[in-house]
Amino acid sequence: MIPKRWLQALASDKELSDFLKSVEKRAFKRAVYTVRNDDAALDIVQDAMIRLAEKYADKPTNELPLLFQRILSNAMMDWFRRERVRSGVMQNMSDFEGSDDGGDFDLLESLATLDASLTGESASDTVSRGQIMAKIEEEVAQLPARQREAFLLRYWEEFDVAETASLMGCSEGSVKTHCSRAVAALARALRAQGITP
Amino acid sequence: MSTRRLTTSQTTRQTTFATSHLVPGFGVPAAVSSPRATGAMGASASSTLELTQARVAAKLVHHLDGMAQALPHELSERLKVARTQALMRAQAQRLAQAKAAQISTAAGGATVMSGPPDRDPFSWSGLAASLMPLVLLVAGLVAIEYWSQREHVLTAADIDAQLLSDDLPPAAYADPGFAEYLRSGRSR
Repeated sequence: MIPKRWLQALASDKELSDFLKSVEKRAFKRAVYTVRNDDAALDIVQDAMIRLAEKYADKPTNELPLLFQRILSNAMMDWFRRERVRSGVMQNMSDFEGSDDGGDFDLLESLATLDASLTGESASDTVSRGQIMAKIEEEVAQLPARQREAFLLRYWEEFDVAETASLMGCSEGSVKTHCSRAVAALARALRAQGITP
Repeated sequence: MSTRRLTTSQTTRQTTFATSHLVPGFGVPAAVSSPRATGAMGASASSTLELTQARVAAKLVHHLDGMAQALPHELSERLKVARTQALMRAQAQRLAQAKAAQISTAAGGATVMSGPPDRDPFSWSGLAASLMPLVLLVAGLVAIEYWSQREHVLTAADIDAQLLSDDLPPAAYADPGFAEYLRSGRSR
């Protein structure tokens, strides 16, 4: 008879494997948008996976998403720090360590811009689906880091506002502002290229 | 995780559905299509903004998902290898922890006096158990000292008895000390 402890360990391995499988591609893309290098992004994701597996494998499954995204964010920060030391390239780390700069943001103006950007003709007539997706990726990658983080965590990883704020180390209001700006900027940029989401 | 994503996706879909009847295409209500009209709507504008954002974001994210799922085979394989390595590390970690726990249990069994780790170290029984070796050591030293002294006394008494019971050698009478001893004994 197989001991209960081993059965639990097997179940835990399966859950962890399923979880990592479900997030690995999005995590890789998120890392690519941030570091803009496939190899570095792979290293970062692998590092994050190993850290999660070594330290938090026994955590309940519902805690894994938040833990993993936090680890991934830290891994990206570590990569930037190492890169800064290694190459002396000045990265704009302040984008990541973020200030709550949403005070003067005009929601109504954003709404108007967003509305205008969304009322055009569909680009599917002229641009292929693959090209649209590539353009969207490109625009996402060009968002300011904080906006991109908020957008990806909130809408792609589907964390709620409080969780996103916790992950980003800022207020919930800032998360809403970053998300709003990100969506408006994406819609505006894509609209300018004749693409509507 | 899948449950969580499903639930939130359902919410997003519900949001999309809730707004999709407003204006064909993107769910933006006609009444809020100009800044003036939006201002007139007051608080409802912000919720409309959020709904619109959620709708647009859902569409964008759908495209991003498509790109993520269409990763080149080589990258997918490398991610798979990374995942496998992470799982192996987790297993190794678990094995190491299990071994450490076994060693700890064995050590716990060997130290009979120490008791379980959750035991109150300041309880009377714990204190007595801790002091027991010291008490035994002191008692042992006292016993050794007593036995040593007794042996010494017995040896001295034996020598005296042998001296007293033995025949007096003739040379003893020539010893001035012995002569003095005999004189003092006779006078007493």
